[in-house]
Amino acid sequence: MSRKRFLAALLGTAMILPACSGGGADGSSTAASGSDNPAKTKAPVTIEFAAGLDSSGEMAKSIDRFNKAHSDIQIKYVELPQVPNEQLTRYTTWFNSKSKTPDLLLTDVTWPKMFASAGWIAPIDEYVDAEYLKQFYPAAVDVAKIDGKQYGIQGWVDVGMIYYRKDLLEKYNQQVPKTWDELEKVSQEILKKENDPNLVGYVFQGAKIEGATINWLEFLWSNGGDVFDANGKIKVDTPKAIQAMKKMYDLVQTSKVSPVSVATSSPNDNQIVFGNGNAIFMRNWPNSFASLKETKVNGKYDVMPIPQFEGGKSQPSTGGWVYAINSSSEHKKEAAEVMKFFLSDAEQKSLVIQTSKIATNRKALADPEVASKQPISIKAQSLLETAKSRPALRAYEQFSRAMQTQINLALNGQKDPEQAMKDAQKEIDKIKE
Amino acid sequence: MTRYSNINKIIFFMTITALIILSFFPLYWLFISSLKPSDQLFSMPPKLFTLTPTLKHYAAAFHTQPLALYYWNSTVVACITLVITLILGCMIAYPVARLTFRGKSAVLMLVVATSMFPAMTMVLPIFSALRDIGLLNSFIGLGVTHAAFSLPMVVWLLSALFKEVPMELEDAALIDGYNRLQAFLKIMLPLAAPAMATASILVFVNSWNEFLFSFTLMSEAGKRTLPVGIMMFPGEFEFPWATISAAIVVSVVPLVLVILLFQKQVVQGLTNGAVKG
Amino acid sequence: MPSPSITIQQRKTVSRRHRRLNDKTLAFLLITPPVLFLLLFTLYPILRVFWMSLHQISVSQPWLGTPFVGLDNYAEAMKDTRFWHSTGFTLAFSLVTVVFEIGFGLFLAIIANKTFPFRSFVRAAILFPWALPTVTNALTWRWMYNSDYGLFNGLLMQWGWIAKPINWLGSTDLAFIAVCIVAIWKTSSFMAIILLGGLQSIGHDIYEAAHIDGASRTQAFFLITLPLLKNVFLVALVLRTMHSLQAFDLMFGLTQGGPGNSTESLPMYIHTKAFIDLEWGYGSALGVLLFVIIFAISMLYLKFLYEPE
Repeated sequence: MSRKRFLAALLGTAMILPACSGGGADGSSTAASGSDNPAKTKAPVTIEFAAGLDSSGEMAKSIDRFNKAHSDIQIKYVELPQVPNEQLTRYTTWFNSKSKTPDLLLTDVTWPKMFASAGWIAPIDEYVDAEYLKQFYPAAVDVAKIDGKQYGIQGWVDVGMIYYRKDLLEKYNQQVPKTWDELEKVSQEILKKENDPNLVGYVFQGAKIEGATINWLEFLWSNGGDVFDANGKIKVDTPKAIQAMKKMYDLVQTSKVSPVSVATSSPNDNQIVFGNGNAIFMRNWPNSFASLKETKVNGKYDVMPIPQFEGGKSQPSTGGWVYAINSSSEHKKEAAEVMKFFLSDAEQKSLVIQTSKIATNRKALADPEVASKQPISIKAQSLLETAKSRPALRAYEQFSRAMQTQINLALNGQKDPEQAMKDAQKEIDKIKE
Repeated sequence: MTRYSNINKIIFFMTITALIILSFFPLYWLFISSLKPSDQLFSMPPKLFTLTPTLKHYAAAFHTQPLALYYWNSTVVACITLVITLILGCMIAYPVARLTFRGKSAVLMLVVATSMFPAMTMVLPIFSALRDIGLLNSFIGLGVTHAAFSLPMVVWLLSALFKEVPMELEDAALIDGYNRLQAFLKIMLPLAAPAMATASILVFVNSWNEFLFSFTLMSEAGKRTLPVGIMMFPGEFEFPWATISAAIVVSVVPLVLVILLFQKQVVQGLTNGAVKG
Repeated sequence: MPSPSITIQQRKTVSRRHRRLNDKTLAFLLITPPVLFLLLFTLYPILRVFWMSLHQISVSQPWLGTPFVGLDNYAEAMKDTRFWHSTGFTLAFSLVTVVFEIGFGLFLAIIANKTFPFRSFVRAAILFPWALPTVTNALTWRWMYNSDYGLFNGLLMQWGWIAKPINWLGSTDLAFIAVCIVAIWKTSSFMAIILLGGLQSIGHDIYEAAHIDGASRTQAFFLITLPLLKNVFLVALVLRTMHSLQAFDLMFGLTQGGPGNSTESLPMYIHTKAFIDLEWGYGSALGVLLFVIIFAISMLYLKFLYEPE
């Protein structure tokens, strides 16, 4: 009888002990392939490439093309959720435990400095020289240049733009606005004359997401201001910054050209409202151009640059993804090869044509075939000339969150814009640089 | 008299109807949305039905992600979790409820400590530990993790309900010559069956719905569980509500059917194992 | 064969001795494997977290090293308004949701316990809200709450109950209510299941006996049902509270803690500190503080409600 009990206990223990892993452990301890003797290696080196899922399927095809053309290196695609925050959680977990995979990864444009400071990504100077880097737009290179070392190259770039209802503007004989005041006036005119209770003037992102910071930065830059002061410190309670916030606030609370719901709007929410025909102006990203074709406003919209303040300059913000190499990777050289493949003229051209993403490879973007198949790329190019990258900070996320929180409250009418900026500055001062 | 009980009945059935509507309306909304053509999706006022349903979004959902595979993965992990939790749970709950030994409170403390400690702070240590053992991207690794977090609930539930069973029944069995294990299997288990069924449902669903560890420990595409799979749908800027609705409906409806079936088991368990004096 | 009486006598003595001996051995054998399992899986990570909370670990500033700072992280937390605010929110959220969940859960369990046609279907309906993964649920409700194109505003305006769209997730008070509604909707069914299990374990005979003795239905409910449910009830209460205090997925998916930081729960703040700001030392300290809060509340429950046999 005691034997039975003993067996029962054993059974319990046996269930715990890892008798077998359910189908192959993650190749994170030692890469299943490749060794430290490249001369001897006949088996191909597997490069694990982590990136957000590409719903267009282009990334998978690109990887396919590489794998077919190379026998010494094979790419293994590790799909991550597209939402940047989710990816960050994943990367934090992996790199904090010094995981050797993924070898190559795509980081959001605001992460290179954070990742480099933490020692998570490796400098790539030994694999790319100055000549090579000239192929790309300067912003695509600078975004990952930290302390003189190159930590990656941007693969494609997004740029902020305003979508507008050209049919409505034509109907009421309005000019395309160049300043914020003009935008307000045009909106008010059209809203009054159109008399549609569902119609609003200008929708933008003000929810507690990265989008809020981006929108605010665009207001700030269009006012000729910047977050960095003369000493390189972050200052968001400067007169220009407060003016920018006040403008956003006024749009919602004073002239009421924007609905209060922008305080909870993401790019997707704005796109839905605009697509429903309920907004005259919308600030969004290039991808909306194709998506809006399937909505009610198909054929009725066009894009224009972000407005500026009087005496300021229109400067849209950039987004995008940067190729970087894991510093714990055992195959950095091969990972660099893969990166160069993705950045090559042919692949970048295919990227634009198939997905309308804006390539960073100059030659690819200037290709006439690209211009004819994806007209948005021409518009984006002109906007890229004045585009500005978000501040490169080690603690960018902390900075952004401080901003998002306050912008959110101000747009809601729960806080005075000046107070909001002052409170944001207090939060930012807490960040140890 | 009849009128009173009739009014009672009407109220009762109205309550039931309200209950069903309240419970199902989000799913209904998703279901309807998944059938609407794209341009009807966000129209205001919202339509509670559509005259032109389309299956396009379901096709897109299946095309984008291997939902059936995720379903299978979730089931496997949940089953493993269930087995481990029930066995280990009984192994702790029974002595706690019936036997006397030193260190009882210490054991209970340890068990409960798991649910008291914020899971996300333990992600990193557990991730590293499993990686070193080689249990990343394995169903057993994830199942074991889920079991560790479900154990407290099961132990509490089972020990509370084991205590409900009168001691006399067991003592009678022991006097009749059965040993503890047999007494447990023949007397305790059948009587505690409804409680075990309840605990099983809780563990299964908990494991099914868990996101944080499923996301962290299973990075391989082919091993993803359902909640993680659904989080692959949202885009960087866009949120394909139509496709996601279809995916969620697909993931939830079979679960509802399973619950429906499971309910019958619980009822049967009750009528078979009822306390008979 | 020996006479039956001697055998029974012998067996009784033997089995009694056997039983006493085996009690302790049995307990040991049964308890040890699970305990080992838990030691590996939970005690080890918990100890690591404690250890990390005593150091300054700023992952994106590795040049600072990871110096031992004693209780500095905790001292900083005491001065951190965001910590206090998120704790306040978490406690308020837990209180409100648990109270309502108990009420609804009990109500649902009683209904599910009755016999009527289509009972299984109704039971499935009761179970269903809880069967949805929280992340999925949060997204769905976020859609319905959307002030521009969401279901709620759409219907309310269509029926003429409101003239202007309600900013459900955009105003601080409404956001709190909105979050609570979703939580109550989802977890009342959890309460219902547990209480149902308890209800079904109460035999029918007790009710029959009471009925024969002349007790009314209400009396039976208060004098029989509730007391017998007490243990199960306590379990449900403690579990739900512990769970509410750790709520993360819901707020994250529904409001990202907004507007401002008004719906940021303590677990959300911990997540931000650890995974986004990459301050593992401080994040661990916050985690320990959360644990202390949960522990204290559970102890309170036990002290006031638990009756050892």
